Amino acid sequence: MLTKLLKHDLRGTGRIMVPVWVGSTALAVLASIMSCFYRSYQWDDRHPLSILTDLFGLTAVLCMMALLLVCVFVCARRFYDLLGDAGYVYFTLPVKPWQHIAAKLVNAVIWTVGTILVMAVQMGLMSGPMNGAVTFSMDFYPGHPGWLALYCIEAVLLVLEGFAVGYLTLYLCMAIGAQWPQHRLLASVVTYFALSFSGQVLMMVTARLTFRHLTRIVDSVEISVQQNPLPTMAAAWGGILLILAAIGAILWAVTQYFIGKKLNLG
Amino acid sequence: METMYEARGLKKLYGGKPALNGVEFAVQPGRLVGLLGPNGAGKTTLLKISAGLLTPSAGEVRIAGQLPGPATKAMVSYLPDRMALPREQRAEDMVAFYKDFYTDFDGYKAGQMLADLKLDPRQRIGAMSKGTQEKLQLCLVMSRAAGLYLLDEPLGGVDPAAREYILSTILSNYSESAAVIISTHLIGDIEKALDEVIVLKDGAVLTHQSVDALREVNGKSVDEYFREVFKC
Repeated sequence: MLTKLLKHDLRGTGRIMVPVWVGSTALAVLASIMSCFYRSYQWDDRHPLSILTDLFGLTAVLCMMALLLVCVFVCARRFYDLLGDAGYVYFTLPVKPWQHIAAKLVNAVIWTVGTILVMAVQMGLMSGPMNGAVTFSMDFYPGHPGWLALYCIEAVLLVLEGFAVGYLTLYLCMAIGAQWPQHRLLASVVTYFALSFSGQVLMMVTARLTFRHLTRIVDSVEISVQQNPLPTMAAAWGGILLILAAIGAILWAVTQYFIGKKLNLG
Repeated sequence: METMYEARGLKKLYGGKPALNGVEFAVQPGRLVGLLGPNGAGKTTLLKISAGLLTPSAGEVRIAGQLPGPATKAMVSYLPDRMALPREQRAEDMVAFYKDFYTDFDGYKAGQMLADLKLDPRQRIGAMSKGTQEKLQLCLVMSRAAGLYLLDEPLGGVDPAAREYILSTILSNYSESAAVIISTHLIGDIEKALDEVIVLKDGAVLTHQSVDALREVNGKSVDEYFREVFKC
């Protein structure tokens, strides 16, 4: 059932995202072609084609930046709709609540990663390939391909986990907001700010209470980094991965409680 | 034969106010049951709990002996009291969707019903009229060979001609092993088809008996009985 839900979600999101990707990439290609002409013919700054080139370039950059916003909006909207009238169809499917969350989350992460890749392609089109970054990475870890691979895996996992936790936060806010009979969107937004504020206060209080321990940990990490930089960094990133996973698990569990036991479709 | 549906001491509170207050009844397979009551009597809440969309405050519902969950959802075909289909989808997309998720969904029957009701499978749901959307939703629900049909106001928004077709569809589509619980205010239209009626008042069962017995005891039709009991 999870794969069926996922297939349905991927298709539904694709109906919006694929045309948006194609449209913005076409704009980036056009801006890139215009830019090539501009460089070849050296038009005067007041030349209409020069102004047009600038306009295309600016629009393409703005579109590229808006891509991620559109993607987050579309993916979040799918969960929000689940808690509205469409929930009468989805929550009567022979599916468990966790499968609904999983399908929406995997769908959102896939489309977000895809959108970032499309943005990278568009950046490449408009500015040329970025050989520098690749060279830097290879120079930074000479003779340690294993560590480089581990870092790459950890970095990818961190990015994916970061997206997942971000979406789970939005899902929880929407699930709490849906407890209100009216003004659910407003309730979701207020919940988001309240959760963010509470999270920051909690972090500050924790940091304050564990200040001495934290200082000791940071000091020992610094020493360890100097002595064994690669394993220490890998362990530190692994620790961050675990913390993010724990946060994600809490967000997931509370969201599942709300859509499983406290479902309020209005 | 196993009881298809059973509600035991069912209570549901909304902010301390009871919507259902100790509802108890059972429905056997092969029965077409009318769930009647004035607005706010608890009909929709009862059907939502039965469909697994709400958790009761107390008591329980059992469908073929099981508490609401994925297993009961696989055998219950639920028609909500509102338009719930995603508006950006086409009718044919929803047929494919139902076919994907319900093993008892009959795609051929759905196609036939769409054709009979002159619904265009390629049309987007958002572009359909309210009545057409309701017809589509009912087609999808009735194209399943479910064990229990929970229909919340299936006749409300459709024209009288389609109403007749829908009624005959409901009657012809369920088997002897299936039960139908249908909530409606259009009692006169459906009375002839009903086997039993459950009348809810203030969240509790006022009466549950066969239509024949109700007519015999009260000497009037179900419609007349309802009008008399709930006279304003």
